Amino acid sequence: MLVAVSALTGSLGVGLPPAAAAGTRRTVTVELTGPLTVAWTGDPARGCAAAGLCGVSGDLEMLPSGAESGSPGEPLDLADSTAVARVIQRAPDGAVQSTCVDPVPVDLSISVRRVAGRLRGFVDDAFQPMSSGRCAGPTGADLATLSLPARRVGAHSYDLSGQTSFGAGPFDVAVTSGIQAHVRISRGSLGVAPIPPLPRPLKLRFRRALRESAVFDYRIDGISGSLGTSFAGVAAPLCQSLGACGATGRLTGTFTASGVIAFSGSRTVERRLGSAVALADLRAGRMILEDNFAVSHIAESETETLDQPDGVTCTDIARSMVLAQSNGRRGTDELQLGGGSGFFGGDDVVRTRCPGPSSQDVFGNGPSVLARGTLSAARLGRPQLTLTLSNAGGFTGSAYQGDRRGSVVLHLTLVRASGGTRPVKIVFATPETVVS
Amino acid sequence: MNRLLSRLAVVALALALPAGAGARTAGAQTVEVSTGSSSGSFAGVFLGPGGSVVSEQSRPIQIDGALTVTFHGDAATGCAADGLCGYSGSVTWRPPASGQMIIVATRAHHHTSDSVELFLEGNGFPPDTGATSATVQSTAGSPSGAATCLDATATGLALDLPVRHGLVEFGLGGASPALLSDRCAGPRDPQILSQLPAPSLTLAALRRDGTVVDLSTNRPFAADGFAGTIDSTIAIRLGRANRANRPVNVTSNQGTRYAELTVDYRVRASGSLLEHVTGSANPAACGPLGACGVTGTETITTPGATGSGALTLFARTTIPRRRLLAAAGLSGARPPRGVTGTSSVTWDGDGTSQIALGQGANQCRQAAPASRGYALLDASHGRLDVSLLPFDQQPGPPISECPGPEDEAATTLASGELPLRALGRRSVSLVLRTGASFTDDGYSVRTDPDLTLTLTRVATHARTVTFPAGLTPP
Repeated sequence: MLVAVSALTGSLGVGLPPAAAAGTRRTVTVELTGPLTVAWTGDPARGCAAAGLCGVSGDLEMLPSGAESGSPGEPLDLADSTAVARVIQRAPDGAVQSTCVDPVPVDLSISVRRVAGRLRGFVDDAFQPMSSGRCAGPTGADLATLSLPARRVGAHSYDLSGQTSFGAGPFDVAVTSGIQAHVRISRGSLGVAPIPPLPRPLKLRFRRALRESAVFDYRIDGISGSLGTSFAGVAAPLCQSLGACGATGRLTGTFTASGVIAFSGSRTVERRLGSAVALADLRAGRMILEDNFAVSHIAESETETLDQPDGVTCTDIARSMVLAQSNGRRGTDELQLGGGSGFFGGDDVVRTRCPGPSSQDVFGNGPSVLARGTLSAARLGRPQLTLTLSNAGGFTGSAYQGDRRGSVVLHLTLVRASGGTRPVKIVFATPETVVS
Repeated sequence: MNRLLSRLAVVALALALPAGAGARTAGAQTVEVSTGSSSGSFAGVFLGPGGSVVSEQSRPIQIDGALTVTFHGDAATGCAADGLCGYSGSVTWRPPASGQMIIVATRAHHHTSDSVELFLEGNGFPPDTGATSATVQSTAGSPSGAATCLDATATGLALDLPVRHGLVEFGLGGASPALLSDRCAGPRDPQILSQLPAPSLTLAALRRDGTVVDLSTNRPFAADGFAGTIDSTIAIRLGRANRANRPVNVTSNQGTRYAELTVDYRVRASGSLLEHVTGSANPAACGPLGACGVTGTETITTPGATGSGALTLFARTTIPRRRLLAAAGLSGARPPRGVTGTSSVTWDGDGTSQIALGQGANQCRQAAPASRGYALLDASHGRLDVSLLPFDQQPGPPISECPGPEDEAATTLASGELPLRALGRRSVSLVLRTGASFTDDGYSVRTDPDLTLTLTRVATHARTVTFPAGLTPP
């Protein structure tokens, strides 16, 4: 499929050299052809027996097509919204025990880099990662390490075909690529349409003002407790396509955390105020309370145990980064821990290499909030804080149903509190904007 | 653009206006050039039929349940003749939990008509879409015996509900892409969806909040070589309507003016297209699809279908008319640079598709009507390139119950070219003889075309059109 991309010619991730008539308006056409097959099998040498995954074989078949790059230098977009994971589990005698088929839309970017003197295509970023979906197989994190052999073809194109293999937990993973990335540069035809004119330029007016702000920095001492999810396949026939009929299981999430969380707030005031007053104003709910996890690190270990109707028990542990976001209000702040594409992107936080529900099953189509908790601003300033987070409740997905329970507790120690006022310029526009 | 989007784009194109009439698609929306003698402007139209939009109403819908068909080869309905006796399995369509219903009233020739469309895509990102999953066993599908076909695909993204005499037929038959469309053997939409309830509702009922449309059933079926059970638990609940609104005309003086040249053609298509199908040589790819060892052909024959189409070109308004005509092969002047356009021809006739796919002891053979064809025209660089689009990207349900690849993985099935100056003749014939090769999951396909298109020029129009700022001609 051809995708025409109008851009200033420069370097595209797949090979537009900067020297190619830089500065002239060109049309960049990227044609992506060829299949990409990721296949996996349970390997006794890698411990598939202990995990209950021997006899599992499956594949993720992708036919990526097209690429779109709005600006030079962007990596190649490899997307297939119709990719499918197909998995068969066989008994030692070769008889089919169960089958699982799941649509796994893939949308990731690949850039070609030279490593140890050889070109390879690496997965840069995965908005919708490759995985085995809800079937038994490698997780998104496992397949994020995939790289493809790359050879330059002509001035700008690449041949990404070839085979590569690696291990992922109890699986042997074999990748067969037939991908060719044909990049052509030609003169634009009608050029780029004029950008719609902005409304009549606003005459910006500034006003000097004072901004009151306060911040409490808390060190994360640890996180205790766990989050549990019990699940079972829904009734037939809806469970059949995922091989989930009669399956029951549980997921247990435990966490590690380190770093610092900053709880802060600010507002415009009429007169200069001291640090103690600013901190008191934040505690009293006179500012919108926000948190900042930028210098923190929270990771989850998700342990799954799945009992299948054929008597085989599958166990696996998957580790993933957990993201935090805040929903601050005056006087309170709701902290949310989560991940996956419905949150800020990344891997599915409830998937392991065993079959089981996805975040979409458990949390619906919205953000995958593993746990949430509310902090009252009045508690800020205490030397020690504990914050309990949970997200209990039932769910019914397209193939699995169950319930979530449990909670985790963040243990925090105050390391710094500061506040005061500083002069700022307020721009009169809509909405009101503050510039320092 | 990925395969799903290309599917949708073609569906939208088919639902909108004849290609070449100045219509173009932008996602699921159609931008239509309003008619005018010497100039045109753009108005937003949401998948409505031709004419001016009188009102447009959207309301959220909630969808519960699923459709599951459990089947096996059935001798009583001719499985032996079609080679389907060795297949059994189940196919399930699971709709998204929510979507939108759009009711559009349009007025043309002093007559108001309504169209009702369901868009089955839930909120969130990535959005929740309907999906069809199939698990099919073939008893003698491989040299070693049984083979299992596993497949899943996004389906039923849009549902066109027929409106007749003020009554809306609320069935699933107008789903696009087809609901029971996958690469495994099994019954398809025509055999199954006609067995589902299709209650008729008045437009007034559709406009009432909380109306529940029950499409549930549990009944046996037997048709065209398969028998089994249809189990539908689908119910659609209509939510509160969003405020009815009349589309705002986005005509703007801030747009960019382009010269548009449209050359209308009558089309006659005759010949054949042979597809050679084989299971992939990569066991990892063909194994889970049960496609290892498959060999066979699909032959699409078009004895003499007729249709229409147009070559539509856009250029800067400063380009002289005779040079724009040269871009369409209608003048001896030097063709200008910077001409763009999207052009196509379609045809319809008494074509047939004959499929013969073998795998072990299973030899699936079917013949079915294949009436439609769709080709893209590209007039540039002094020649006219014609590309036959995959048949799966054309409206209508899949035609075969045999297992096999989906054509949509191909960018084109056949192509041909001729010098642009040949279009100076009123009638010109072009033979598509260049085949294509493509892979589709566990299958490899090579095409061998011999299709003749005869284009007869019937009219030429030139005018100036204004594209809103930010949009360029296709």
